[in-house]
Amino acid sequence: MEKTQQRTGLLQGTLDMLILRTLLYGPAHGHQIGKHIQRSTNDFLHMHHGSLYPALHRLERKGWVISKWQMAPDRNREFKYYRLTDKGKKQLVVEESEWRQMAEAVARVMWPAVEES
Amino acid sequence: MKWWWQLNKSAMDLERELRSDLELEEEEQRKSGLPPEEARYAARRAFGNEVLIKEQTREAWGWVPFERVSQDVRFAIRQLAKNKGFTAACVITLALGVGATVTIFTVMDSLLLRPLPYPNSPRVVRIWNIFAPRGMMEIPVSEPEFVEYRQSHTFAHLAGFSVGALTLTESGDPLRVAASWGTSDFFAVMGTEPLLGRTFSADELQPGHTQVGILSYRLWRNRFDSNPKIVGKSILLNGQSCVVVGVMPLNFNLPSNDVDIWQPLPIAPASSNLGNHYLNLIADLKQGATLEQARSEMATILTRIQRKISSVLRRGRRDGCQSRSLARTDGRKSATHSCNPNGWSRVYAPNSLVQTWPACFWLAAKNASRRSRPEQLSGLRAGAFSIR
Repeated sequence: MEKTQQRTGLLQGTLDMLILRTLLYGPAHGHQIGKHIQRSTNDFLHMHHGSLYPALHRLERKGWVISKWQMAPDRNREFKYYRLTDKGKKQLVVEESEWRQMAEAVARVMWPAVEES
Repeated sequence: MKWWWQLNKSAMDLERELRSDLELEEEEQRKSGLPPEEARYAARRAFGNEVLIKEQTREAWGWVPFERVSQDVRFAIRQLAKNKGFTAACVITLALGVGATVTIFTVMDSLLLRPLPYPNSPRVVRIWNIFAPRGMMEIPVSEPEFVEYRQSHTFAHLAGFSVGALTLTESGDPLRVAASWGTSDFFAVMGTEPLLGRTFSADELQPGHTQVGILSYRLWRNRFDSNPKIVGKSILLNGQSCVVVGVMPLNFNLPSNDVDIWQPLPIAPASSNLGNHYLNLIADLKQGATLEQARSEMATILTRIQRKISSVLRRGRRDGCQSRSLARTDGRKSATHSCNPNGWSRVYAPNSLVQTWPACFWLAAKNASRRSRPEQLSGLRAGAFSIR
């Protein structure tokens, strides 16, 4: 648990980007988003609910996602589905490019030999 | 309160969201083969501290500062309710403090800040005779002086008034009312229009035609039940029939708040009664005229009055009908115009003369614009005429 928190702490600014990216596939509810990120990273990133819900509500407040209570297609139950807005899509592009720059910069410092070869 | 309602709605929404996701988690745990009881615990473990999640999510809504304030307020109220003695002391202290402040402000506001409730109030002045050697700074004027002052060109209107009391009978119990007698232009100085009827006509300001009266709003309301048909009716004042020609509005309180009836005061232009100083003067400056101009014009008129008085004095000695002190040569001689080293214009009269002729040749014009009771003012002395 401690380990996971350390990781999410490290990835604080990245969480929004991951959620937006997940929603690019289509509307999803909180549980699905969490599970998707967890599975995609082979359980490396364990989505902590204490980070997920505040992030979702923050994104909604910023207008990057909108939410709606809808019937789940496979269950006879309603869930709160989040959907990406146009503003959210633009934000995703921005964050993605920033993240890439960051990753490349870190890589150049960490593995200069790889860069030179 | 709208935000509170919205916050409640959001909280219920979050509760529902967490509940549905938790149930889903539990379902998945069950599907993976755990017994129902254990599945529930596993789901809760996976979820983490639900209360903490709610707290953290609420932070994202941006309502937290408001919530904290409302929590603080509720806490404060609880604490105050607990310490009743302390609360009472605080409330009483605040109440007295606020009450005192409001009272002081109300007085200052009406006395200093608010202009008089009359259309002409910024230009209204009061005029007095003064006799500085005896410290007499507000002496009413006599009829002949008034007739002279009235010829001034710097004032749009100049009027005199006196005050007294009358007994109102017939309509109900006899009532003693404060009354004021005004010369022509008395109402024109202030520019206030009557609420009902009219002010006095020129005819009514002739001697023998003055059995008319104007009521104050208060008397009209209290004594005549705000009768709109009061104008034209007769009332009994000091046993004499008197026709009501008008009613003044509530805010017309000249010369003071307690005056309830105004009657005309005819002044004969040929009046020679120099000894009776009973006229209080008010005037409004013409548009564009300054107090300085008024003062210098008053100085001119004053000189004229002095000349007339001197001739009356001489006649008095000749006729032998004036008092002894008036006949004294030194007294007459001293009643002249001179200048003091400060450059102030002064008019000096010997004391012996003043006893019979309290007049004095000093004139004071006071700017009464910012005060509620013009007759109560005092201020700077600037020579023969003091402007306040």
